Amino acid sequence: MKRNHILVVDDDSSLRRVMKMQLEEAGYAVSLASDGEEGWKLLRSLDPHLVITDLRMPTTGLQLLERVSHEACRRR
Amino acid sequence: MVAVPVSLRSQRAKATSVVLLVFLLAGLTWLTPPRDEVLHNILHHLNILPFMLAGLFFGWRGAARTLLLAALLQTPSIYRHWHVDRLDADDQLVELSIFGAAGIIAGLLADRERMQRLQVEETKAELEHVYTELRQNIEQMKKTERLTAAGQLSASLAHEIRNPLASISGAAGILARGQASAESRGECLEILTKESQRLNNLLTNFLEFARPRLPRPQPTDPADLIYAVAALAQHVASARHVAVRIEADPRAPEMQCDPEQIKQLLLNLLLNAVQATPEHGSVVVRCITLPNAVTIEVLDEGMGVAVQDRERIFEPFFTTKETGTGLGLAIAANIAEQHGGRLQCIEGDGGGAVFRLELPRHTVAMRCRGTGQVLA
Repeated sequence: MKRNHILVVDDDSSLRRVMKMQLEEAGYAVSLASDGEEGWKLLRSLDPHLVITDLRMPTTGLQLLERVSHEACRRR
Repeated sequence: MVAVPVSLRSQRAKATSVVLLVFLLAGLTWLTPPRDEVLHNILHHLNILPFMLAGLFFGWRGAARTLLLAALLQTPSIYRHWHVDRLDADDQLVELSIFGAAGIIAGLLADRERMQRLQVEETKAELEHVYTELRQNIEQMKKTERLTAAGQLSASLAHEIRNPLASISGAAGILARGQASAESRGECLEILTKESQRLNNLLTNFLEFARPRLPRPQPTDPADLIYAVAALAQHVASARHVAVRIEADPRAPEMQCDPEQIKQLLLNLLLNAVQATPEHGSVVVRCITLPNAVTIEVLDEGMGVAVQDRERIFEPFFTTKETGTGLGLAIAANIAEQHGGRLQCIEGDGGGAVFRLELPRHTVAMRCRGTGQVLA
């Protein structure tokens, strides 16, 4: 069975690694991005099931969320 | 024996000497034969002495009482000169009255002078009281100012503490469950060490920043200083949606200053600028390095500072903010002065305020205001 895929976006490297380990332990496939820009690129290329993002970081999480909702509208 | 206060004892001595003088003059006048007119004349003129002394020592009431006593004691002589041995008794009466009146006037003047002295002393005591109270208030307000700054800092601090804490608790959880691979366990231990160290460094820096102390000059990179301050103010700036832009040459040469004090000063300017700037505006921190000086400007997009207030905003307790204590800029200006530099407020191109800090690059000696101490 294909594992569910989660994208974690956070500028804090320790937090990113811990979340990856925790989510993998729970049985998910995890991809990591360190800012909103990288997160957006991975989102486009990997098409994950879920995105978990920090808000306060360079190219903020809010900007990433805006792009995601635009994309969602476009697809509909 | 009852102890008598010195002031009261001297008052008594004065009263005794005046009374004795009156008795002496009355006695001598009685004993001097009427034909010795010259001696009588001298004695009559000497009457002015006790009246004047009583006036000076005890005021107009003292002079009046002395006049009454003298008139009573000299009545026999005057009577004798009038009826028995004819002498100028009316002259004697007139002289007694005039000298008495002079004594009373001197007494009135002395009373007035005494009253004024009393008022001055009362005012002095009152001023001393007000001064003490004012000093206590200043101490209190300084404390409040420190607490306010601490409040803003603790918001940033809380944010800085949460991330490492989340990593630590997450890594500890993975280790506790014991299902992770050897590689992951190693990674968790590394994260635990690294994040604990990060928290420790954060608190050390914070304490060093928050604890007030004398200036300690050391070679400092001005750009590093500005970036560190911007990081501290970032939390407040993001909350207000204000962007902080830094224009500083990272290759700028080092300068001699107390980095913590200059950070405190710049943080103060930066937080003020952020508060003054409307939402979605921006604040610029600009650093210009000259051969012998460093100029750091903080530019905001607020309403600016009125021309008449540009000097006064550096005075203690002058504030244009509703919740301000008016000490922040005074402390900032003091730090600039201690470094041999100065802090000014000038008008910006866009109407906002510009705070310009000028510091010498090589500080020979630092003055510490208040203690008179010179720090090499």
